[in-house]
Amino acid sequence: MTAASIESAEGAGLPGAPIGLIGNHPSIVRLRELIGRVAATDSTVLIGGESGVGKEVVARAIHAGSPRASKPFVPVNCAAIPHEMLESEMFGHERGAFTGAVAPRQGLFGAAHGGTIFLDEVGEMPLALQAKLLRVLEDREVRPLGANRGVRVDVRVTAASNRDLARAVREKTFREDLFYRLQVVPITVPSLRERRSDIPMLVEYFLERLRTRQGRRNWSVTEEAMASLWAYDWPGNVRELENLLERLTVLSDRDEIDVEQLPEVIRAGIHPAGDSRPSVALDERGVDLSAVIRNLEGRYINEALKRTGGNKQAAARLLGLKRTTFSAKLRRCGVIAMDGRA
Amino acid sequence: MRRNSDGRAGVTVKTLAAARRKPLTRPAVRRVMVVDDDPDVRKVLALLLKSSGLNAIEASSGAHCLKLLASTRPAVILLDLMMPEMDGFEVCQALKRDPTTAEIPIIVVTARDDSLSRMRAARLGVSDFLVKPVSKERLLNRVRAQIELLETMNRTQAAIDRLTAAPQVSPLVKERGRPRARVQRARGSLQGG
Ligand SMILES: Nc1ncnc2c1ncn2[C@@H]1O[C@H](COP(=O)(O)OP(=O)(O)O)[C@@H](O)[C@H]1O
Repeated sequence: MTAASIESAEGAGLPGAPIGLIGNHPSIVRLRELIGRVAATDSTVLIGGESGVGKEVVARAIHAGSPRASKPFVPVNCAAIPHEMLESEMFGHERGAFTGAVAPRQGLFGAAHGGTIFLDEVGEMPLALQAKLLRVLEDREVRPLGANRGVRVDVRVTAASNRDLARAVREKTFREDLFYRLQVVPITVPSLRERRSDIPMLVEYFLERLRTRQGRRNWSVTEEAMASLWAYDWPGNVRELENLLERLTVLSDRDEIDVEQLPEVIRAGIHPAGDSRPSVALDERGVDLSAVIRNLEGRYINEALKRTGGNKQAAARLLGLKRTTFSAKLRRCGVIAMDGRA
Repeated sequence: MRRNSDGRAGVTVKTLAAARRKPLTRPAVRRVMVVDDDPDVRKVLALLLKSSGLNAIEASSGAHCLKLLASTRPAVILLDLMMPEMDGFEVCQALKRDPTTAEIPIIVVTARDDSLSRMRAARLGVSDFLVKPVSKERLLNRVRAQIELLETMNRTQAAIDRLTAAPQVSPLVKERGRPRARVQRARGSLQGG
């Protein structure tokens, strides 16, 4: 790399560079703002949130918005590296430190010098190594395995866990002192179901990305499919949504993604008040007929309003009801569904 | 993107202070505003909210909602879309434009189950979108979720505020005579020498 290209690479990472965190939900707007502020400090950050919510995206955004942006961002998945290798991976080793250590090796902390390290699934780190990490945080130097002196490192630490670390501390599987060291600034990334209003935007964003990647095809999602995507709880969060769209666009030969193509678990979510498809299966438990009827009424009323763009007069006509009867029904079964499903 | 870091509105500062004082599991504010032109709908929703320990304030129109907001600060707003004169979208726009109300989570509760409305609501910064009829549990869960999210963000903001204000406002630091070490400790960072 020439000096000029290094310089321009540095220029690209100026503080305030755009953050790849898609969403317009108030919590995400706020999160972007907070990321911008915390990036400017050199503070340690502990990022919480379920799997797939975008914890690594947040860590990268913090790095990209910081004065360290032109230096390396080094992600380490503490759960993916075997325990016995984690120490040498993180801190490096000297030649002959253990069998097989034929050459000295710089650890990931060393590789992140000047930049940011991201310790993902930090809760999975064995207790002995937690003690060593704490010392690194306090002394700002790492000691490679087999070395008798520490090496100074200038690294900003970000860490993430999808486990409740406070609870791990209570259960004595995570060191309390390390916990407080890490969570100087605690950030929690909301689950996708807590910010459902971002689903359409994320769908658009991922489809657009697939469009540019796969060329020519012009993907879209039907209204009904979008309603299902919105209603589903997304236990795997943004990652699950992203994977689903990739799968659908690969499998489908049509450009329009319709509700029939969605997996059964997602399709099931389309009935807002739970599964209320009229079925006449009647067993010894019996059935609340009025509730069933009210529910059915509610669904027809919804459909009629949808078709007429919310025009109550026209909707009443569509259902063969007088406007006043329609309004009464709308009121009676219109707000709270009678069954107890959440 | 938005006014904040320095020009934070009084409201935010107040909720922040409240968030610091109160245990985090409890909503900072238990007040929910219900905006719907149908008095029966308002009554049903208000009763439901009350039954789970939340206070409801009722607004019968968009204009009424904006007027009430001049003197009251709900934790969440439940908003109908189809209302005469000012519809739900317009109310939303007005609330998001005003920095003193922009941060109040809005949950749309509507009979309109079309993706155009969803998209439009989402673009306007709505927090959630519920289609009538909605179950009690679902409604209450969604309200609680938005309150808790706001508190989580308040907690992060408080930590950053503490961090960035630490060198100036903490007299303890000077008295103990080791300002450098303490500040660096507070920052918990790894800057090298
Ligand atoms: N807000 C977001 N905007 C765009 N992409 C996102 C967002 N959140 C998550 N993703 C994507 O979802 C996937 C999972 O994100 P990741 O940061 O790895 O989650 P986590 O670390 O919480 O498990 C990644 O492919 C990431 O790009």
